[in-house]
Amino acid sequence: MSTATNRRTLLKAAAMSAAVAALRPGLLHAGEPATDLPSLTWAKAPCRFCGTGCHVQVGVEAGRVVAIAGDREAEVNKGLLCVKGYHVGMVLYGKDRLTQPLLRRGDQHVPISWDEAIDVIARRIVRAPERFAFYGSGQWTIPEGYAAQKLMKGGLSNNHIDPNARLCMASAVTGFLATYGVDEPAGCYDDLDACDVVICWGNNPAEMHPVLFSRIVDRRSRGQRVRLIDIGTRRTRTTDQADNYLEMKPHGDVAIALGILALLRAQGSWDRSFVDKHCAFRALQAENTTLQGEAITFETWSERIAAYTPDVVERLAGISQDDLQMLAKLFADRSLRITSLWCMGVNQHTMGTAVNSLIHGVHLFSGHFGRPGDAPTSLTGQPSACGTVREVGTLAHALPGGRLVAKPEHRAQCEEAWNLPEGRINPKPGHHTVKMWEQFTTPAADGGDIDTIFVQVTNPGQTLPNLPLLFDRKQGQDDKFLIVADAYPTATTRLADLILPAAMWVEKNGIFGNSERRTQQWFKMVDPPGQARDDCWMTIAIAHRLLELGHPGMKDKDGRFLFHVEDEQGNVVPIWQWEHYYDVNVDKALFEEYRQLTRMKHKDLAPYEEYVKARGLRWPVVQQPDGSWRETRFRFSGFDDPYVADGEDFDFYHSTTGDGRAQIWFHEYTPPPEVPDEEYPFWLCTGRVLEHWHTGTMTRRVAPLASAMPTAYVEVHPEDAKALGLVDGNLVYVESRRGRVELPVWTRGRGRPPQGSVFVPFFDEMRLVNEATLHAHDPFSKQPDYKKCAVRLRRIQG
Amino acid sequence: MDTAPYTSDGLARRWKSLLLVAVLALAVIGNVVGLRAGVPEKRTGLDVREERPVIASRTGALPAPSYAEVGAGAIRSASTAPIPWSAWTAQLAAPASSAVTSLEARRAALAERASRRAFNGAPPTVPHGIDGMNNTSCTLCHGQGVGIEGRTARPLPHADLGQCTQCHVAAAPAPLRGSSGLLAPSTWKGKPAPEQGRRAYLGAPPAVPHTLAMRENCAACHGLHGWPGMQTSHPERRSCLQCHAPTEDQGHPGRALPASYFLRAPRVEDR
Repeated sequence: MSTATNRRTLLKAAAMSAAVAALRPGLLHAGEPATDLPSLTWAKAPCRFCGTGCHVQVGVEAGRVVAIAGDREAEVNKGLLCVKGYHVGMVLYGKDRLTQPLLRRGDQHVPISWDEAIDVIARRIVRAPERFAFYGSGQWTIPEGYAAQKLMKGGLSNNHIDPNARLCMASAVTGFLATYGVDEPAGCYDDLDACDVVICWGNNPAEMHPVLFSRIVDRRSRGQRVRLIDIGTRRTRTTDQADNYLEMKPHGDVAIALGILALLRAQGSWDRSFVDKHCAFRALQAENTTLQGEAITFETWSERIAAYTPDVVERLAGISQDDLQMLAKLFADRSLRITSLWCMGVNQHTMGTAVNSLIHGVHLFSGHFGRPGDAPTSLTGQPSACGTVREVGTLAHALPGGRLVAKPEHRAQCEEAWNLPEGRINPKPGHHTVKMWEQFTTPAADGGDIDTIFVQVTNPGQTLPNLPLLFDRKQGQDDKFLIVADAYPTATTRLADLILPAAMWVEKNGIFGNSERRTQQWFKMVDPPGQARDDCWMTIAIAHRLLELGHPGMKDKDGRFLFHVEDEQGNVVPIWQWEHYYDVNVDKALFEEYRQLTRMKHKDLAPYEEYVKARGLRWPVVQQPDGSWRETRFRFSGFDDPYVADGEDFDFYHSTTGDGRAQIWFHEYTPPPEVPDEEYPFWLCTGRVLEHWHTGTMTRRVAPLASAMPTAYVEVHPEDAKALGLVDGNLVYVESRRGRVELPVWTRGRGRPPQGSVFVPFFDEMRLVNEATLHAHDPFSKQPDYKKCAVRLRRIQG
Repeated sequence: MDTAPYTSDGLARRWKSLLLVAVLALAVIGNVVGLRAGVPEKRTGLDVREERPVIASRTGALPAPSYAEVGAGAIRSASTAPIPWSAWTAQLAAPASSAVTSLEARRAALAERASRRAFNGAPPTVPHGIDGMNNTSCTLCHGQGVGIEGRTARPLPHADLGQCTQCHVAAAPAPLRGSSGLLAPSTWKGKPAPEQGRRAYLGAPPAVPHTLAMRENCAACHGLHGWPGMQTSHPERRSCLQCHAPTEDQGHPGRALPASYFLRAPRVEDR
């Protein structure tokens, strides 16, 4: 064992005892002999899975995770988890963990050393830096995303960095930007405890955000009344708890939001005082449309919205006029507190920006905003879609802290923070996800301008829409080089040229940011298996190899390495060498650098050490006169947000109109790009199930979850099944114009689609529904629509 | 167990009647209240009720019937044969008289219990088929617990939580069966359940060897419908923590109480 390793081990041991002392004062001072200390130690971490951001207690014994418990100190989940969360520790222990770098030679993958692997990547980048792209994730930790962002935009002057979150919540971002001029929800989960009415817009939180759903419906067990309204395209477990189920046609959400606004306007039941003081009106330009559109008068807005009468909405959305009146009546009642929840149904939508903006508009126009319980709340599906993607800005057009590559002052601010020469950051946005993969899979001779992609913490071979076009075409193109870092073999590693074994979750330090602006920190608790290493280390090691190969971008103005980290004595720590990576806390170093960039948009983050103490803090976290740090629950509301001036009720202080007003939008309903016809008569909707998270690479290695939901399926209405001569368990092809997938039929299953509509979950790498989906996307967010395209069912004989 | 004061035939009969009344009352209330939860679905005319997957567990827990089935009088056992009500009542378990305290029985129960958990503290999987769309039917049997045909539906150890399927999953429904769904085997080794609580000296009340989180109702495992070998010998006493000190609290500062805090007696060899 080298001295370096010895030192590291000692440091780790010291840190562990300090952590134990901090967490369990009672134990160390109880006078018990040391041998009585339980060998099991517990420490906090946010759950690895969804955007809810539950905290778990991780039980570690002899270097392995052996138990998980809900964290009762955590405000998000108050000790409760879902079935995935309770089993999250098991995701580390699939027998097929990747443990060494593997390089494709012919049709085989052969083991190589880490030094070789890093060298291969660096040389690939050096030969054509502008043809390299970095594809990341809302599962990146904040430091991982920040390092990737800095390498690409600050080091390589290359903006081709985009995350899977583009497929997940990009339309939520554009909706917030168009409405408030700044991203992320104003409210928080406290709204769920205070509201009288919850409206789920194309959302099934009973399965997708179970802990939040329990937080709502368990109020009923305590004798409280909560009215739950489910607007959806199929019945789900959420419907089972709902007071009203409004079954809409796909795309009908746009019409419903417009219809509510039209009724509030026609009946004079909107909140005049709130709107007069705090809102303005907006619509898209007649041509050359932009995200910010143009200002319109209230009169123009009223004229346009008037077209969406209840009978028009009934025709477009398929819900009854009575139900629309019911919604309008609820919003007209200011004595109620109303929270809207939405996630992929609204975001994965070719009118995603529009429907996000319109739901915000319904809340603003009716004044159901900014009081506890009155909130338009967009949920996210990944643990750090907010923290890493939206806040660090790991998108092709963005820079950290809500900045844009297109804005000269924003580039200058980042160049200054990163100590880079002026002009280092490229002003032109890079390729968004769909474009990036289209360019990668298009032969260079046909204009494909991306030839190398590095994928971290995600599985595009399963999640990209229209896989035949955006992924499968890679096969056989030997000049295209795909690098994939992951913990397990996946649908993506199948086509990878270089596979890197990654450490995951509590095998590394990390910081996530959840759906309610809560930033959450954890420490490494166990070692990764074999040669698996941290994603953040990979990025830094590649950067350093690029430096050695002479790439000028890897140095700052003063000639220092881009990821220059010093220890407490001021000595440079060679964090690019794995054996020294944990000599310092790299997460802390990167986070402290990053948080200086978070203040411009008032998304202030506290020092790293504050997050060590807390179960997450919701930004803006602002230092108080006594030196303590205070989180913010209700943004823009005078009673809670420190950035609203004293005496003001509300202030939208990043208003696009510069006058403190939020924008109430008008959008014209436009039909979806593909609708069922004679040849392809069914709507196809895709989504998740309770037991599996995203592409199942983790949850399908957990026996209780895998056996509860072993395969993807197609939900078919019993009448449709009968007409096609199908019974449960029959195998069918679900076919679209793009591709097909083989699935067992399930009528009266987990969800119940109406006639003419089928549903398929996307977790199953053996049954890839994205072979059939559409890559048409929202014009502003570039987020594709996974919720509607046209398919047919064909019985497979046998 | 003739030393137990509550095993007289009369008391057992009263328990039986009470249980029967409770079950019937729950069924009726459930039928009225439970089915009204959620938004009723239009009948399709076809209404092919999904075959209820039935997995015989090693203790042979009875498959949970839904309210609809109770209403239709078509309760079926694992063998799918209809069970008339009289057969049910005759099979209602005699309560605490069956309390078993042998170490063997406890070990067998621990093994059975462990087979449904990935680690001690994980929510147990459901050893019978369930209706994947409806949580309300769970409390029919598990609300208060019920013993039928020598099989036991244990009562809920935690209150206020209505979303049963959020944490407790059953085996795959019939149309999806065929493979385990596992992409790879696992090397996971979960924390086992403790065999017993520590005693400070012979005759001292054992400390609680597990966390109390989600286990507010001690009777769920240690009461009338509790696990063999873990049932209390004194169910008439309701204030369990008066004598049994909690020892483990999963690293929560301020809540972690070492055993010695409660039991500072000298150590005596536990024979």
